[in-house]
Amino acid sequence: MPMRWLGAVLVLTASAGGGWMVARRLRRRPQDLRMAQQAVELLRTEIEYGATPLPTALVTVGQRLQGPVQCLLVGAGGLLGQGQGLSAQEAWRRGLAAAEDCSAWTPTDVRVLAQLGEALGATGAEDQIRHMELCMGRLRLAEEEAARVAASQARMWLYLGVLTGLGMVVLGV
Amino acid sequence: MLAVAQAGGPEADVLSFVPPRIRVPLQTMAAVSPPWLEVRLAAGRPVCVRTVSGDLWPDASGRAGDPGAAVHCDREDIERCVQIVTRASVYAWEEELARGFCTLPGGHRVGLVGRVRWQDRTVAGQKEFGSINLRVARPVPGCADAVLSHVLHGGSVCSTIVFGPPGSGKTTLIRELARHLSLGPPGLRVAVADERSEIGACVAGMPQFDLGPRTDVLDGCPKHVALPMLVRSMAPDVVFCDELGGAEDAAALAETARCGVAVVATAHARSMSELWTRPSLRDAVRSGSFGLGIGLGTDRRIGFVGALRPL
Amino acid sequence: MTAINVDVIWQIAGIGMLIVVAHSVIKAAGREEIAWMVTLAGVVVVLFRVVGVVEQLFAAVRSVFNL
Repeated sequence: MPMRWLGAVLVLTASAGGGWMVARRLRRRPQDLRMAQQAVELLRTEIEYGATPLPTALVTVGQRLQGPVQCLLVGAGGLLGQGQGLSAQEAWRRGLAAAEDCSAWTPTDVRVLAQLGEALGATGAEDQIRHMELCMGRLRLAEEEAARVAASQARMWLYLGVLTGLGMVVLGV
Repeated sequence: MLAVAQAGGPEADVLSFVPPRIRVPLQTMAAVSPPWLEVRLAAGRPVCVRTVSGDLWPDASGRAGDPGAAVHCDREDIERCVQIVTRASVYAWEEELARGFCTLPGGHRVGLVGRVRWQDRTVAGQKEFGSINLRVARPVPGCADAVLSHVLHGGSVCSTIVFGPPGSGKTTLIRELARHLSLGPPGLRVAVADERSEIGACVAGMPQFDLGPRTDVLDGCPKHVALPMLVRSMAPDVVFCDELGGAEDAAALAETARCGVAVVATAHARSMSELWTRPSLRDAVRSGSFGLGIGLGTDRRIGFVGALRPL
Repeated sequence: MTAINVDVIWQIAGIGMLIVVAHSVIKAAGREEIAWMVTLAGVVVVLFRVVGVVEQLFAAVRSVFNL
């Protein structure tokens, strides 16, 4: 009998934990997207007013932020600064791949950032600013959508995790 | 002069701006070839290294050979090279790219040509680069020793024009002169109007060549603006500038001379007689702005030193 | 025999409650179609539970009337 109860508790915890993780990811996505917008905004300032070279700009902006964008910017900037003849596009792609794992971004969000990377540094200041504004606009839309989704669905996943666990326990007992 | 290019020399500096794929054979070649003047990269064409003793065409293993067997550049190599030179930040180098050249750390310069964006009767920018020319800068210590006594007259400097064909070492010579005069004796205050960033090759305010301890460089400013500006702001004893030729230059030179500041300048001219055929130069010389002329030959030897006389 | 029946009743009651809560939570999250699907799944699960008991009932009836 006690073994049965222990198993029930384990199943319930696992299921509830799963629901909680999905909910947390949903709640973190707007935050991560806001941080990405902030990063692009800061990068724009560096490019527009400072004309800072990309390796330096990426690292300085990255160090002012936290989370996946820090991972992305510092990673890409570091790779560029090493002087291995890496293009900005390659460095950004690698940084993004590393940052994706520790972020709550969806594949769509990652694609928006990847698109910015394709243009980064390759054109004049005016064009760079246009690309960045476009990217910021898309990130803002994604953030609004993510906030809506988080508000309505995070709680659902939390409850659903617990309920599924309870259901399994009830059926199994 | 025909010394083997040593490792860590200016060639190694320049090679760090070449895409890695091409860098490797060139590094191998640099160890055994005479000093380099240029590395030329062009999309779809073989890599060419100009040295003091002729052109070399490196193959994949770094041996010099036939142009047909040499390493060929593709479009991606050129793009990559532009990225390395601009540190992946085209936006920060728009002006330089529009001008067609940038100065690298170490004083080397890169010439870039591609497709020009033409706007308001000027080159607004360039894209789709096709050819890149990495020019190796190499100071030649002591090249001014022979003329120093002529330029310096009892502690004061005689205004000098250095003329010669392209590549004859005019800029190298006046750079060395600037260093000598600044370092002293007599230790003069030297100002450099570096319109094309060739004399000092400043990167972020730091001259990449040693111009001496008492030297101030005004970078990238047209000469007719730079000369009065330097005279007013830095109170120099002597002003250096590169490549006279514009109509405004002569007036600015005369004005500078009137302030009691000596001028050392270069001019593109194969000979003294050619110097006189160019109206603006002729005016400058005739007005007595220059007391001394130094002519250089194609072999980088000093061919003429003396007072300028109207022909 | 009676003990098993009581167990099944408890199970069905529990599932019913869970399904009601799940339905309302999912509906609040704006996914009504999924909410109905969950409810339907709950009904199916309950039916499977009931099938066995109903069969026992039929067997009992048959044995009582010697059919």
